[in-house]
Amino acid sequence: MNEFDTQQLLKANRELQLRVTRFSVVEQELINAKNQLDHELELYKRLSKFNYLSLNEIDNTSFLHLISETIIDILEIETSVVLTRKKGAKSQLFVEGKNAAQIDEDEVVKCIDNFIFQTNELAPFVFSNEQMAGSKVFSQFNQALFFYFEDKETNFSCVLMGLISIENAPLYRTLDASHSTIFNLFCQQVRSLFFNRYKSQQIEEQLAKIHDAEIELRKLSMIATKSKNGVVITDAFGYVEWINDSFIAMTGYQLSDVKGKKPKDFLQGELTDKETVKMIALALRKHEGIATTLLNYRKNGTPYFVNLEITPVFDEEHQLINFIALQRDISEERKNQQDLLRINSRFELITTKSLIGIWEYDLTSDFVMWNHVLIEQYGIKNKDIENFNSLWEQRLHPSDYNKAVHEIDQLINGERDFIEQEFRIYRENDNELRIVKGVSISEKDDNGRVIRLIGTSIDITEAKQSENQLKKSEEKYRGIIDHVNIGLIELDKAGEIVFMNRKINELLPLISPQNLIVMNCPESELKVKKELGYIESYLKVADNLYEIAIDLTDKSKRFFLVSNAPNFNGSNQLAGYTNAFIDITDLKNIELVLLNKNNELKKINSELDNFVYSVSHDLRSPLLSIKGLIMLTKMHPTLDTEIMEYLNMAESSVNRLDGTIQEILEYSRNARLEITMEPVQLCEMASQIFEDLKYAAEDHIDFKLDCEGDSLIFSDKTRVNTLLKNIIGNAVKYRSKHRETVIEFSMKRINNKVAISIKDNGEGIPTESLEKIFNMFYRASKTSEGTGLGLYICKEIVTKLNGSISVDSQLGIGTTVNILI
Amino acid sequence: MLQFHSASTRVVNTKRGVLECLESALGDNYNQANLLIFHASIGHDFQELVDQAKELVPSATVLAASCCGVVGREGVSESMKDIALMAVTGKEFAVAHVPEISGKTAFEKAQQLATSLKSQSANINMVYFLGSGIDTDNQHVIDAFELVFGPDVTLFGATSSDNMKGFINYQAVNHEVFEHAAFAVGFYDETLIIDTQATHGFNAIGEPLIVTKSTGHIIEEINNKPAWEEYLHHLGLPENATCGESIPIGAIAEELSPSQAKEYGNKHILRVVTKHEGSAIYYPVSCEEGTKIWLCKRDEELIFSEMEKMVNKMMVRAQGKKPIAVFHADCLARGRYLFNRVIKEELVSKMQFPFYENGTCPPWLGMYGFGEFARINGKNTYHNYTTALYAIYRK
Repeated sequence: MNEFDTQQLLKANRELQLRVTRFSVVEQELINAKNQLDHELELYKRLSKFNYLSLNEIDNTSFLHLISETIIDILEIETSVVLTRKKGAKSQLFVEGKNAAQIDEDEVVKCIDNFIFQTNELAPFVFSNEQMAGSKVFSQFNQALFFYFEDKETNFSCVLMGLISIENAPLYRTLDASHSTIFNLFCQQVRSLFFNRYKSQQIEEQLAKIHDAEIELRKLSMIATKSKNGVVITDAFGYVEWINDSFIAMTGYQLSDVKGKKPKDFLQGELTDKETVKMIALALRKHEGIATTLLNYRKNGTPYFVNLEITPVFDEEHQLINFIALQRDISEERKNQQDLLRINSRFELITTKSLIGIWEYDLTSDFVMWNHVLIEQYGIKNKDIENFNSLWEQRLHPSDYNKAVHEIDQLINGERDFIEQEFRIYRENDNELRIVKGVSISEKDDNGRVIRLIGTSIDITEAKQSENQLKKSEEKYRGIIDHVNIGLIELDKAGEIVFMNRKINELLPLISPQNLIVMNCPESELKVKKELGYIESYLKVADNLYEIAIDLTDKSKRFFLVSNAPNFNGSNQLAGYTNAFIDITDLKNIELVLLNKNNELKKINSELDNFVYSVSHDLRSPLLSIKGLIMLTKMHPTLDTEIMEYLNMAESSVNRLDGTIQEILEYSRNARLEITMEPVQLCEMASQIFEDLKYAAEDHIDFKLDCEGDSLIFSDKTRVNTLLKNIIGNAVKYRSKHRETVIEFSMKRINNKVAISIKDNGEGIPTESLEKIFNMFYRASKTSEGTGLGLYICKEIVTKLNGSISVDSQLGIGTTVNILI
Repeated sequence: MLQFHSASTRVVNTKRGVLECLESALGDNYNQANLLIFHASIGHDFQELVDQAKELVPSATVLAASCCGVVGREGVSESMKDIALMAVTGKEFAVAHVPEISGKTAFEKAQQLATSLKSQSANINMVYFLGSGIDTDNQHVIDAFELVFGPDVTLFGATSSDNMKGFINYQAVNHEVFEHAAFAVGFYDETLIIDTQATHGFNAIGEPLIVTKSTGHIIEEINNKPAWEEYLHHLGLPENATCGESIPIGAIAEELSPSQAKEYGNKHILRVVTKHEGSAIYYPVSCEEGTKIWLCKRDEELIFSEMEKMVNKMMVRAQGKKPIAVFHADCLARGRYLFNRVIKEELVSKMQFPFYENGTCPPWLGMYGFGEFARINGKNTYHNYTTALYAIYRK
């Protein structure tokens, strides 16, 4: 193949390729067209779906949502607007799609109103880019499809809008004819749907009205049938058409008995009031309603009273069609009236017996009635008097006259319905001044005019006298209460002050009483009202007796002892409280001084104890050195007898001094150290002490231990040991030289304590010394080498252990020490 | 342990759509989801979408990407108001995003994403990537991820789109909505493995065109002529044609190595043009000067047969196991702009049915976007004009 052929072939190949690709273009155009058709079909399907959904959408709001969504769906645009208006109802605006939330609804409505002026009803209108740019609220959009329709008959209008911005819209294209076509179809459908919905609503409303009317009719029928009143319906001429069950029950007549008859022909009888019958007949002739009371007769001939109300019924053209008569059987009421009269006479009897005066003044007839009790109260001599009003005014005390008459005038004028009065009168027969108390009420007619006054009157002269006496007594006691140095406040149940005595009043310039009052103290619970910080603290509260500290307005602080006691009335019901205040400021101040002094004393004591301990401790060291030196000196081989004697004397003195120091240390230890509780085998301890002391004496000592049961106790081991050592030591120390020494130790438990007894047959203690043996540095025996501190320490130890110690002794016989710890 | 739940719906009102998806996917327990991945078509307000999702499930991480249509277990839908959801429960995932990505910054931004994911877990074994489908160098994205994670970590996902206009696309993370951003989810549940594959069914035709001038992913000249004009000329489109008009017929093919071609079932891999500025074409991957490119002719029979082959191969590899979730990326040019609704639904049915277990489709989240990631011969690869499936199995 030559080069030319090759070039030709390549050219042909390229052309073929171009043809292929261009065929692809054509093929793609066909596909696009097919796709477009397919797509449009899809849009119409969406429209069809809308039709289906809208028919099932009953709720109006959901229906409008569906419309706004369908606009977007069928036009494939960004945003839709639906606005509906109906006269007398609030307009509804729905914006769906992109930026819907950002769109100002008021501005939308304004803009739509402007658009409506520019469009024709019933045809979609396309607003161009320029027109859209002019509207502030829609300026972000480039085009709008707009449809507006209104219905004059229903005063309903609707705007449907689809908005598109070419740059951002889903399809990036402008609105075209295809949009207008489907939008037009959609809008016409919406319009038709709205009208259909409106018609449907109208039909529904009418059906609802009919339904309501039916219910109303059924109700009325039910009322007439079930009413307890007898109902008779006659035609325009008075012939019975229908009677209800109550009428049948009331009269015994069935409908078949009375249908076509006039009621007067079978209901009225011999005693029926003829005048009333005439009045009824006249009203019926005039086609007027009437209400009256009548005596009728039942089918069995028995009479009964009825309240009768006859109402004429007219049709829409005001033609009389029926009379409806309502009959209420009032026979029972009549009977009740008779009963009432009987009750009244009993009431009269009661008032007479209880001396209650009754009066009645009928304003319509100016008739005044007083009962005989009232006549007696006023001492009226002439029982036939008619003008009671004038007599009453004459008998009034001049000082009470104006008030009493004015109040009665207020009743007559209707200014008040009820008055309670207390005034003085001069009795007519003896001119004695009496005090009377009364209650008066007014009775009014239907128009609110006062027609009658009724009142009671009780002579309370004696009661008043008693009351005055009581008042005087009260004043007397209040005077006493007022002058005691205790502040008293009486409160009612609500916490309001009823009474304050002088002492409290003295405090008033310094403190607001409301802030002083400690209120609401029922027996079981104490509550204290604290306001504005005046009551600073409650120092002590027990059994409704407590202390309070109050900052007074003059900046000083005072303390009060407060007692809060409930008061009861005659029915044993809580009536209030009485609070008593005792100023204990001075006492509190003294208490404070005492407390401070006590603390100071405690401190000094403690320091003294420490001092004693230190000094004793420090003294013992050189003493022990001296002791050692004496011992060393005594061991010297060349020591003559005289010096040995001196040394023995020196050693004895040193030993005594050491004993004294040791006892002082014992005392100090007991004072300083806290109690340490631990198990103590008491008998074991006593036995050990006996064992230690047994060899201290040259002669034989008989120790006897009598321990009852277990001797384990809980106590301070060191202190108990010191205690026993001292007592047993004394028994050894002061043994008799004339007989064999016997020392007995016994213990037994008494409740939670232990009783210890140490008995010896030693020298014994003189009776005059017994009181003093527990004193510091007291020595009962002249033979004693003791310091006089031993028993004092024992007493201190027993006191510290919350126990007691006592000594029973006979000179020359022996001593018994009893300890309870 | 991660669990997957999916749902899709077509509802005009965005908020209601989100709620419907959540309820449909998880029932009343939707607030237990830890991760929500939404695919939504461009008619939805993305801000409203993510705000609603966060309000309903405040504790979940919410991700969303725009697309031209969705595929869920309920089937396929290509309208302006589609939403599809994959809801994930469990904690073994990491999320990262960059607010902006482009062809020039693709490597750097993808590296940022990968580094962020790795800092959250060193055990990530698969990454779901979703980036802008306009002006991104996706080979650089793959290179950056492999640099951080190594070549064994599977990168799957898609590039998001609008409705094939190439104007805009959205990515959203929690309450923030971005244009031309990217996000990635790294899964580190050790019990999970993933199998991916892609197929297209187009044939390259005629003699190749030669890229004679290019910088990175921008092709300036083809056959020594201004690239865009030459491209339109060969397609037979007028000079004022848009990317939207060129995409359905404008698949560009690049030659694959023989081994890749064998597994792929085609000698060529395809590229799409979603943007041009003047004569310059924004290619989805880097394109060196001298690269041979072919125009293509689609073959419906081949599309179906290759699809069946791909699914069969995946079934063989699964050895009888059924996936616990399937992610799916499909080229928007394979949707309604290629097939009518019936054929498209048949195609989707053919790809879904083999994965069914006991008559039930596994949780499925698919989108019609601009591009797809899937492995060829064990290597992470970026594709266009394909159906790419990512089946996740429990070991």
